[in-house]
Amino acid sequence: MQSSSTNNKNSKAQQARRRFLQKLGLLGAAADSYTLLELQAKTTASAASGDKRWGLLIDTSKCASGCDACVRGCNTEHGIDASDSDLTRAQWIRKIDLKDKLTGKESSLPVMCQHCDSAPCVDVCPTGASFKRADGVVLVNKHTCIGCRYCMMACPYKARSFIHENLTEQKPSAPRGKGTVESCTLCVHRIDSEQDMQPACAVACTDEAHSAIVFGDLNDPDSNISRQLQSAGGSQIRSDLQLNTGVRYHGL
Amino acid sequence: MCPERAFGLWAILWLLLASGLGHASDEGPIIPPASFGDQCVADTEIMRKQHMSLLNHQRDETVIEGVRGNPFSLVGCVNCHAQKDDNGQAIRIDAEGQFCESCHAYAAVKIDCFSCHAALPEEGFGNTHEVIGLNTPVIAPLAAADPAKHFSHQQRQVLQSHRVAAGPHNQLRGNAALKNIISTHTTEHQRPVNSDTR
Ligand code: HEC
Ligand code: HEC
Ligand code: HEC
Repeated sequence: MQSSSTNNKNSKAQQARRRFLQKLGLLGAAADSYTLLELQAKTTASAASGDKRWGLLIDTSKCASGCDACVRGCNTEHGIDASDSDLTRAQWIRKIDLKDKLTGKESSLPVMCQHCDSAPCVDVCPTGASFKRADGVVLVNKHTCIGCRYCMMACPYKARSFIHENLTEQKPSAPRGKGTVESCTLCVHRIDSEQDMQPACAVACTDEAHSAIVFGDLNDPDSNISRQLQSAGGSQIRSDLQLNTGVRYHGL
Repeated sequence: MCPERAFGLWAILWLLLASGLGHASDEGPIIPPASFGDQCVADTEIMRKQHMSLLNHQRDETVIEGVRGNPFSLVGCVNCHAQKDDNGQAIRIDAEGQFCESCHAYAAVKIDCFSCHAALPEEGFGNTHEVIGLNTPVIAPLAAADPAKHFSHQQRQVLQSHRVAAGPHNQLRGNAALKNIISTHTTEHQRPVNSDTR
């Protein structure tokens, strides 16, 4: 026999579960059935596809000097502590100000992993931890990264950071830890999970009313990013290296 | 009785008690009950024995292939299995005596997962039972999941080797079957019977 207090607790749990299921819109009228069994995976489990190539188009004419909203957005999303020592701090996006000595033209731009098609960091990695996903996103598989940092040497954009110290309070969606290399992931945890999800930097830039960062599928001729590339053009930093970068700049 | 002597007696009593407890724990680890959900993402028996390989396959699938929302997410384990302290604050799942540590300490296993992965549930998860995080698979244990879709090849092999067909009959599993699992389980591990979590 159950005591009444147990009953109470049980029914409380039942109610909570009901609310939870209702919220999901998964509770029908015959609600007595056995809970989580009926739920489907929230996101369909489909792999990154080679039909897509994710990229960014950055309009430097819209990017404001002194604004670091994208950097902050990135730091918040991935739990990067910007107050750490400058020498060892992880940095997935850097803001850079340029001045053309001849014309005096100034521009400001964020530089992150350029998600190269033929990525030098992938070539040099001895364990295969530095790799390119089918959809063009260049990542570090931290489970197999041994922290040798060859990739950091090879990267022409200085886009990667090494974690020197033990970290605490990581975000559930962004595991990070000592002894491994890391860089911009194009927010794969976001873009894989839901359609039309944008990387945190693009969202932060839009929120700041600059909208200088456009994210999308470079292989889809009808995507916003492809259409803007078509009409306005987009150059690569260090195009001489012929890396066919997934991050393009307009207005440089 | 002078206070020193009283203290001495207490100390002896306490030692006796402690050694008794130590002895009891030799019969198996004490595993804290799950704090969310009625059953695990696969049959409990499978989870006990196979969680490492299931996790490893999930890990590669997610990181390399970008497959999300499969059942064996590490974020999911933490969400459902992390305990709360008396003040309702979540306790790290790898802390002493906590879920991932209990068996591992007993079996002398050491994992490094939580040097990178959050050992606390996603914000808001389980507080209201209403908030689901971005990375949380809302599943569909074995039964409801379409095996062709939700499990990798290796995972299907692991599951098959246990002859637990992911068929509709599992969907009918209700209280009785669960209680069975629980009772076999409690005798195995000497888990304190905690009726309000069932
Ligand atoms: C050096 C840091 C690091 C360590 C140590 C580590 N991981 Fe990961 N893990 C990551 C990163 C980074 C991701 C990718 C997260 C993403 O893309 O969402 C990840 C993703 C995963 C995923 C897929 C995402 C999820 O939550 O389901 C699983 C499963 C996983 N790891 C399991 C493990 C297990 C098990 C261990 C311990 C044996 C471990 N990891 C140790 C960094 C680490
Ligand atoms: C939906 C919530 C939920 C998720 C997600 C979940 N579990 Fe569970 N798990 C449970 C419940 C509830 C039980 C207890 C079932 C029982 O007692 O029969 C359990 C039981 C277990 C057991 C057996 C514990 C024992 O007492 O012997 C193991 C091992 C386990 N889970 C591991 C995992 C791992 C590893 C993950 C992540 C891959 C995970 N669980 C994800 C809810 C969950
Ligand atoms: C029911 C007891 C039990 C629970 C609970 C449990 N484990 Fe384990 N785990 C084991 C045992 C036993 C081994 C060692 C198996 C072996 O070596 O064959 C192991 C091994 C592992 C391994 C492989 C370690 C290695 O070095 O190969 C990983 C990873 C792992 N567990 C993750 C987890 C996580 C994450 C949790 C919490 C969500 C968890 N386990 C909870 C019993 C448990």
